Amino acid sequence: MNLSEVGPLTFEHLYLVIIGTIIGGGVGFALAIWVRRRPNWAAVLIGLAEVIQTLPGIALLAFLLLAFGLGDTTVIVALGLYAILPVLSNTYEGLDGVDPVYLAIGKGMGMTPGQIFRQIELPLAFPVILAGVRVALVTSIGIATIGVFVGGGGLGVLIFRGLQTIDTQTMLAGAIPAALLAILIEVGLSLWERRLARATASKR
Amino acid sequence: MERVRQPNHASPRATPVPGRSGAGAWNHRGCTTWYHLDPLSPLVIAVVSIVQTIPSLVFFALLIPILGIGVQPALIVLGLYSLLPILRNTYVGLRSVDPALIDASRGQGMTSWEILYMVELPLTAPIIVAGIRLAAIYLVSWATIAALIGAGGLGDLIFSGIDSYDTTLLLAGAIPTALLALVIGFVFGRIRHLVTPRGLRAEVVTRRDLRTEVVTG
Repeated sequence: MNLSEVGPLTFEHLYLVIIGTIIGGGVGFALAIWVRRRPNWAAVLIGLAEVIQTLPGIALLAFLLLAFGLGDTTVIVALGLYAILPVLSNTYEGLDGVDPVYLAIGKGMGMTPGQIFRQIELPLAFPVILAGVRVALVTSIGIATIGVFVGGGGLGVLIFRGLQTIDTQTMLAGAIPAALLAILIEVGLSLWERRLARATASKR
Repeated sequence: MERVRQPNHASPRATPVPGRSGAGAWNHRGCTTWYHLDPLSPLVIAVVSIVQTIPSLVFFALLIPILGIGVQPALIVLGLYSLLPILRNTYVGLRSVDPALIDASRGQGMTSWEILYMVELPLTAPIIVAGIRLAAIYLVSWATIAALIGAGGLGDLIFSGIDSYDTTLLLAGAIPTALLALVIGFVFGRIRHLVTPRGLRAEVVTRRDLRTEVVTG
């Protein structure tokens, strides 16, 4: 067992997770902006994203394997697909939750719709959007570990190797950092969210 | 949306729930039923939320050294894991019941138990079922992964399909797995609708109430 592998594999794991979340989160964010004035479309898109979310990770990876072959691409596409729903629904919900009074105030002050969006709506919705990003990131860490079965890299490599050779040490060398990554992201972003929520609440 | 300021004298753990006004909501609620009283519950929920972020493959890998492999360890892991979303949703649901309703019930002379099963549980039922639904969907996914520790199931087909690059085998495992998750999600969605008290059905259950925190593969 080579402990020196843990570092690079952790970085590779984070790389997959971040790229996947940026792509999926970007799509989710853009879709949320597009559907925010179209509630019917919002229901359809969120429903579709929910179907994707319901699919078990390994089944989705298996389907994508047929389309994209073995390798990191398949994993990144899967991570992107899973990141759409949390960011889409939270962005939509966050923007929806902004008190219209603030929008009226902004308008009354002569702000353009773009300024209202950037300076009022987005900052007020940010804690909720951040919660979506957190869920997307933590989900991605889990899916990325099973990405090893479709030829992806990351900490799953160590877990899988450990499982195959019944080598507990190797297994734990992959499992412990992966668990820590998920926990750190969950706790760190939750704390940040709480601080932001408190800041916006006290400003009101 | 109505926002509530954090009352200074309240416990720092007592997070104000949007839509509820009045300082000291926590203290006010604190004297109704046991789950409000227990000062450990926020801690338990925090721990549960953290444990729930641990990915499936990692969870199996962490527990194999202790439990070994086979059907039984897989069942233990699945059982443990399914506790988490159900516990969490039940707690969040019970806490989200409007304290005015509890007050009104007590004013009518109901005991704490009567309030629990005649007022709070019916109101919380949709959220509890949402937790069961989540747990069931997760378990389809986790049970597939459990094939790796010798528990069998559809995961066997998927993994041997990947190993031998046999598309038919792969799909024979992946399609039923996906359908199983979708059907279970749909059925529990219907159950959630059925257990929603009739008076609340018209009211849109906010997504925030049902929000899934984490889905791990």
